Amino acid sequence: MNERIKLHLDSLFEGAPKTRQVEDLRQELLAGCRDKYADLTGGGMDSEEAYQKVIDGIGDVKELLGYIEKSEAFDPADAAEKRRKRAFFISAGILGYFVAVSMFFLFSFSGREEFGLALMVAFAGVSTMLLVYGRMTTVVKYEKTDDTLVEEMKVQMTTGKKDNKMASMASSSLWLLIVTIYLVVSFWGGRWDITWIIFPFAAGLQNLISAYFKPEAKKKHLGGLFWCFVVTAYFIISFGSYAWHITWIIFPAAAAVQQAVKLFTFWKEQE
Amino acid sequence: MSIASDLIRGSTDMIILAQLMRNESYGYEINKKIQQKSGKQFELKEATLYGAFRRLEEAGYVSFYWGDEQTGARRRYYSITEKGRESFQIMTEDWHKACRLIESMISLDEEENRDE
Repeated sequence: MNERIKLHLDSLFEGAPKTRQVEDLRQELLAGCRDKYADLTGGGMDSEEAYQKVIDGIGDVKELLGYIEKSEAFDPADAAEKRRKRAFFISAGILGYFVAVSMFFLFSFSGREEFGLALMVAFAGVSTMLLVYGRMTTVVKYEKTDDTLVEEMKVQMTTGKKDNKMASMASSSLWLLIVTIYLVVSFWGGRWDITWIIFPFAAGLQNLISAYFKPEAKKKHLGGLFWCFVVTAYFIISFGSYAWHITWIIFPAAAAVQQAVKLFTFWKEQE
Repeated sequence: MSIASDLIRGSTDMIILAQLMRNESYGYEINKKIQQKSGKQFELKEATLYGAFRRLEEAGYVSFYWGDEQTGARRRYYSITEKGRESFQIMTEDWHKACRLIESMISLDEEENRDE
């Protein structure tokens, strides 16, 4: 019967523009009709009679649609807010650069150049991210020429691109940071034989970033994250214990875990 | 009944705000409460109700959020704003004033209202 109500509403909305406001109204009307229908039949009313009552109670949708079309509200409120936000991020970013350079000199004077260098790169990375983030969140969006779903799509696509830029920004900051840490730690401790382990680990982090920015490919990237960490763990355990003859067991074990997780999520989605 | 229903239609906004003064709510529940309060004599048409919500929203008298119903269509939950509360007070005062005025104008008693 719910389907029948929906079909009736579809007929009432026939020819209406597909704007968000109209879709909101359709959604709300549908919820209202279903609530009413459930309430009436729950009270013991015959389903056909309840359906008729629901339909009779809808009233003049055409008039309402006309009203909505006239009142396409435009919201100019957030321009000033955006300007404030952008100013904040720019100031914070620039401050970060100054701190970065100061750090380097500060630690150089006390004879710990590597540490100063690492801090400088880290601060510079964070500052860059602040600047980029500030720009991305405050930049003027694609202005909709009307309120149809096609226009909505364009807006979404432009914001999507921004996310991509953001993702590549995050990635390059990550790798910059990782390489710095690798060099500093290696020079410092002289353990070139083991420090490279940071790279499979970093690859895992890279997957995490991708998963965050591309939710549609989340599963793939989380899988990648998992395997990167397994590989890292394999090397750490093996180098630590020198039990190479047995540590490989981690791979079939990991595969089993992954299959189990897959099964579990599949089962959850089925519910 | 047609004059009465015209009168009521003119007061839709006030009637809905009265419900929201108590607690936040969604379309069908509001309409059902109105129906109950009227002793089952009156029920708003859905289109009238949702039209009123949009008017009230534009005026800044109510705000809404989408419910997270898992099955079927999502509900729109409404709550009254501070501005809405203030204007509800003014509306009801005006309404009572108008009622008294009409009351006195349609009264068939001859001897009263000479007190000024």
